[in-house]
Amino acid sequence: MTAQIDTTRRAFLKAGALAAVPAAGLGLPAAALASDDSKAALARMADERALEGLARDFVRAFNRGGAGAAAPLFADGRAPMLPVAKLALADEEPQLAISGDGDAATASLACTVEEALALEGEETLVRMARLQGNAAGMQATPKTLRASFVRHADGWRIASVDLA
Amino acid sequence: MAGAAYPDMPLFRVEWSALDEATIAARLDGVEMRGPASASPTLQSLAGQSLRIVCGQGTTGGDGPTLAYAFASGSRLSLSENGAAAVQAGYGALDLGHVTFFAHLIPGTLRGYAVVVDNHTRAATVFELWFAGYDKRKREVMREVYQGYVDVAGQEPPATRHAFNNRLEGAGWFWRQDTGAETLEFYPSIAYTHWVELSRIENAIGHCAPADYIEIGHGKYIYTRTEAEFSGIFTVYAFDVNAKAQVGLRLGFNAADELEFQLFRGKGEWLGQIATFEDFGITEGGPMLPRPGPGQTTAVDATAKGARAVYRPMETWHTMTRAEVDGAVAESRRVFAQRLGAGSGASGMAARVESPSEGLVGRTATVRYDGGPVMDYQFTSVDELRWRMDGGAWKATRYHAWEAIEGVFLMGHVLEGTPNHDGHIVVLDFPEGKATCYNGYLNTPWFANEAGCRPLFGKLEAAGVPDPGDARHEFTDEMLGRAIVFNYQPGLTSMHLYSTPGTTSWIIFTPTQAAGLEWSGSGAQIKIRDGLYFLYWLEEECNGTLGTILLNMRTMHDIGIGYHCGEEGLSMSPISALLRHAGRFDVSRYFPRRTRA
Repeated sequence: MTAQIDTTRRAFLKAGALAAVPAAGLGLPAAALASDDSKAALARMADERALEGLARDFVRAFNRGGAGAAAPLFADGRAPMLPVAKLALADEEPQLAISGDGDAATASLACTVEEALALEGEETLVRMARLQGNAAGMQATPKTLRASFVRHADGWRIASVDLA
Repeated sequence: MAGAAYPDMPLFRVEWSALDEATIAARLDGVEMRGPASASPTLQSLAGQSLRIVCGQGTTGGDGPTLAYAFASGSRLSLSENGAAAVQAGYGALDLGHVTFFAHLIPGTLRGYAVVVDNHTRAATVFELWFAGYDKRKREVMREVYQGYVDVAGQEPPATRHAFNNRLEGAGWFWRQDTGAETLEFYPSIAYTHWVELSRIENAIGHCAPADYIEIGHGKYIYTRTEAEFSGIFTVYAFDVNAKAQVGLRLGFNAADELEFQLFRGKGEWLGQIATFEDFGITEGGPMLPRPGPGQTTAVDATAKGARAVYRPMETWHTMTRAEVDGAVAESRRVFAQRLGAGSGASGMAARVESPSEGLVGRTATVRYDGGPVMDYQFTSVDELRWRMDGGAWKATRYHAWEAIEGVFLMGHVLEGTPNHDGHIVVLDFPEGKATCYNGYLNTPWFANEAGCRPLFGKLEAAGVPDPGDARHEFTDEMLGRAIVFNYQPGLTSMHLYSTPGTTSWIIFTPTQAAGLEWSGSGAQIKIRDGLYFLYWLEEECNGTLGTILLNMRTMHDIGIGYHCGEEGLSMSPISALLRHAGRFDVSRYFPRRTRA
């Protein structure tokens, strides 16, 4: 286990606003970015972008094909069967936290879930319809998508996701 | 114990052996080096060639292998998977125009491959096949599908790939193979198939299985069928809809537990095309990945290699003993438990059921069934009637009736006190003096809580009703080959396919109105009038239900009654739907004995 450092994307952006812009575009001398703090800030910025992108990739894949489509994004190649029909991320900054050693991270993303209303009944047709994902209708509910990540040699992978 | 390879009974009645890995391995031993049998000469032109196939991702997202083949002769190859040491195996190949099909097992394993290569585009579809992948039925052949290409040194990978899509949805074919096997094969779904064995099994009824439908291009397709819940036999073929020709493979164990590892060529006849219901432009095909909706608790692993949605009714159905049935029926009988109609809150298949008719209230009638009972009726209210059988004591019971056309009623009630908990679902035809009953009963020879059905034809006697003489409603072939879509409520649409005189298949539509999971049972079709048909189906080894509908083709509306026994007791419930006619397959020529009778 590694200790987690609380940080939010908004707080981080405030502290590292300059680093969010490509260094070459700022015309800063390389020496100005050579400090350890700057390197760490750049690395952290890259991680944050990667993690948010991975979370968005998960949402797209899940909406396209459920757990099967999202599986390649996971560290163990297995995605959970979230009990919702569709996910839509809210237009809000995600809450991100990266561990002190930089090998693990968590994210909380506001989202809207479309939850299917169950087809009622135990007739064969109803059972078959439920088995293939049919529903009597949809209702939208605001929720939080919580994800944890682990760093692999070739980049971040999702360790787990759930909805709260 | 294994018996005949193809016993003359429905596949769901066969007691399939639980083959284990060791037994399967023993049956494969030696066959791997001989390769598949073939009644037709196999393709010899691969001898001396090598082939490197790069597989893409499988259907659940896993990376496929790279397969390096070297064909030593027309029947022997070596294969290296992902650069591993090469293994020798026997193989067989057939061609279909510019498409090459070959198949082989891998010695020392329970695995093999079937490969379809388009030599014009270099696109290839690879089926990885294996036994013992489904723990509950190790005889069932599992498959993963990779759509890749033939890698040629110095050339870019081709842009074209074979593709799952819905282009075959709604088609039907007759196939006669060089093995002598004849089948009717329907493609009414993007993920399931319905087929009828015409030659291997004497008493033809249809069965359903998960399927793959893949387009090669230029009128060529690939079809697979895995006889899940039954033998587990896997069939794959490439076919040309214009040339009406197929080449393929059959792999698995029949009812005698004999290994079938057989290449085949076949010639086909087109049976027609029924309507599809997706919006134009939607081309999404299968396979349907496991993704249960709300209220469904079936455990599924959507990421396992080859995973797909498979309906397994024989595994999930809870069977009951006769004593359990007697106890459950004594505990609870729910006969038209809920008043229906607008605002009633009815759900499931009853959401569109209208309020029951008052048209019988105050009337009396006698029904004399040919070779069956004499039933006297007094309809005392919209909910209650009095009945007696063969002049016995009068009993009061709950019933409901609906008037389908003027003077023709569908009526149902349970016969309390009968040893098999009978239910009568009856068309009372006052204008013509006829009555036809689907007599449901429990305690069949198979399972106590599985309904059986005894069709009864008779005459209806009542004031002012004409004597029909010997005339009766009759079994009909006018519904044979038809497909009717039933929408019961939003999210619940099913299509019936009457593939044989004695088969009803039902296919459940997905949220995009593609046809998805499918199953079938025995049934029959009786003509009441031109355009008015009285149908039944049995959900054998599935849910045990007897389903009936009185279907009006003129109004495209129906009313039906289901009869069911489970742990919750005996029930009789109405069903109704909005209908669409999807079309008709031309299958009557395959059933010289046209009707079920």
